[in-house]
Amino acid sequence: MKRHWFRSNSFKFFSLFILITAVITIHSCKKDLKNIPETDDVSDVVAKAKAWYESAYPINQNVTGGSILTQSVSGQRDLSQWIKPDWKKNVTYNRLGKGVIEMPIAAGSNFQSTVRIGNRLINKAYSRSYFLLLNDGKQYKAYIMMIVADSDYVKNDFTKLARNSYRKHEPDFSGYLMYFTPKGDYLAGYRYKGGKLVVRSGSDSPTNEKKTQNVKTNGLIPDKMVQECTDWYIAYYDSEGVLIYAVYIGTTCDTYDDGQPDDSPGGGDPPPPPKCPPVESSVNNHLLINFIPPPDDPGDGGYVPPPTDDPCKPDPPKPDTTKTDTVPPNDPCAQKSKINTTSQNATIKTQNTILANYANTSSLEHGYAQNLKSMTGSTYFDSPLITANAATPDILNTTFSWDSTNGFTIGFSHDHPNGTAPSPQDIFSMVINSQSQKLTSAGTTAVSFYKSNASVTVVTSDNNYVVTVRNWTALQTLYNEYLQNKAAFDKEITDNTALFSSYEAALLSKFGNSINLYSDYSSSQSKTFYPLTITTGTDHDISEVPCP
Amino acid sequence: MIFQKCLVHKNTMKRIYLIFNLLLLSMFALAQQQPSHREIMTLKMPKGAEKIDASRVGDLKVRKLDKKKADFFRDHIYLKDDLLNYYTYRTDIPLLRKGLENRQRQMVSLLRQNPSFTVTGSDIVTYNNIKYLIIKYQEDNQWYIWYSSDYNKEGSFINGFIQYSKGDDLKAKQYLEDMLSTTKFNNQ
Repeated sequence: MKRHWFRSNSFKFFSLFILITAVITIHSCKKDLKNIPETDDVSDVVAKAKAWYESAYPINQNVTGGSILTQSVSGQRDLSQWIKPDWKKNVTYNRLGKGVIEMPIAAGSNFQSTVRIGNRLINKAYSRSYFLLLNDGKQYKAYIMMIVADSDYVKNDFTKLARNSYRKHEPDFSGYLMYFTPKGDYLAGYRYKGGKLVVRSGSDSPTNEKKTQNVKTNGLIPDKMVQECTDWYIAYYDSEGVLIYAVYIGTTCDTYDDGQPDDSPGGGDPPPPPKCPPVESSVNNHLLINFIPPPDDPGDGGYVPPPTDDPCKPDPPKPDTTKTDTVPPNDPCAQKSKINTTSQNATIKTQNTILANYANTSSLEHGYAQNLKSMTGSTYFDSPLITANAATPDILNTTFSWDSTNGFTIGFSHDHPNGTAPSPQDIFSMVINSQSQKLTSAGTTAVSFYKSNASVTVVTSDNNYVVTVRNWTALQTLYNEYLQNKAAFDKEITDNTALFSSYEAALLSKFGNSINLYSDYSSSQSKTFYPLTITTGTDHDISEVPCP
Repeated sequence: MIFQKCLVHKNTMKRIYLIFNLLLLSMFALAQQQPSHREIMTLKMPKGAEKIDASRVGDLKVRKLDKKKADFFRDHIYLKDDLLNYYTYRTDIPLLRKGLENRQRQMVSLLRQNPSFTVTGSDIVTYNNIKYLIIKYQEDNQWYIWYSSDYNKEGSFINGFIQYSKGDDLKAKQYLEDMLSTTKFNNQ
């Protein structure tokens, strides 16, 4: 008689496999769900903690009874007035000898945050913040725990973010762990890679540049080692993604071989966040964070606990006034106010108003040279309007002068009737001008002045854009690539515009850190320019650079 | 008699065991259908459309996606009758949000300026109360229908392509209509 399949070992193994898989799956789903209590009742432990928290961080009330947002001159807010714990979603447990209450931020807080590391802005979608209340039996302490995951870890599965908590992170978690007081003061930050706590290799040295010798395959060659410092900021947004403010939390410095600098978006493994409080030296008015060993990983699968130290409020970095070099810092935020001041100049404003009218009414491009009357002043000549030919509606024959009669051309403003941001040709016009015989024959001071002040402005019926040069060497490299194959260069921009559905993203993904791109609001009359950047990862999302 | 009772009991147990396993299997399947946080739309693909892994797109009649595109659209690549459909979701910051008409003007102009592309049509159409910008263009021997929706309240939208070879124009158009006519924003 034929043996029935139900009786076979295969069936039993199959059943067992299904059973085990189902149990694991249901359990893993349940792990997320069990954070939500089944009733609205708050336990005595939580009730006591809540009473303490509300006493320690009371909500200020305005006359109408609503909460107000305490805001400093710099725009920084008291976070305890902005966000609050969702007490109903508490998870209570003991860890490392302390009672822990872990809670998400209450819904409706209109709050998002992320970290800006130098010129790299981590996508807000990779960031989650939680409230932690720790009780050592004598007193409570409250913290905000911010987890910012790497895109390589998330891999577009955003459910992974919810699988990390104070008591247990995923074994392959990569990203940052940062602690703040409930008011928002920075306490400490750590970096995880592949689930392991990263220890910074070597120590920072308070020197701008040093030389050492490395043995290379072709003999003993002195390597020039340079120190690169990175400023760290926490950027806060509302739920619509509008930047509210950014706070400087410190600077980290790393030494690298100048033969292999890494300034590309997403390149290189980022360092651990700054220590707090910063220690010892300062260079170029940056607080240098010297090496302090991180605490040991607790080894129980959870995150490093928050420090017991007091918070720190480091002063933001100031421009280096000791340098004779007139080229301004390449930080887009450092140039932001300068861009906005120029755009409000009476001559420039009139030019751009006329161009905005052409952008709406004509298919031909129009433009004006921005010609300073002197290298020491800020008044401009009324330069003549330049109009494209009907046969080549998007090509303008621009002029460049460098004398006191015709003016010093530091910029060019024109309209794009099709609404796009500055084209590669527009951007490369600054490279061409920087090598103009009119400029170079005026001497190195003139070239340096041009490079410090060069810009291209594009006016459209939506946004207005300004591009400045952040890295002239990098831009020259791109210009060489462009000259090699203009069609391929332009095609890449067009392809990426369709891919990202954003010309700005296509432009920044190609030009990277060689330029600073600024835009104003398309619907706003105020015409304030903000720097733009691409978030890290593969998404190529455009975001506003969070300037302090 | 005792033997018969045991047999009946055994058969009943087997059925219960089987039903129990099937129940668990269905729960397991349900557990895997949780949408990710970034899925801002519900899309119902036309019958026969198969979700494919990015690594498979090299074996098709249509030109394969390069690595950059395969990575970019990684979770949303579908194949049906030699039509390749891939999309992703984007979010524009308030600073840069533009109307579909302006996006159309910008994109058509860019494509027309570049001799590598031939624009064969562009329109703004409404499916299921959502406006879409549709641009048809050709590059080499490949044809594309680029579709991009209006924003949801968070400034997010779908951005995708149907890529096909010569002669499949009507099939591609039908695919697009079938897909978008049932597509809706989540949580609107």
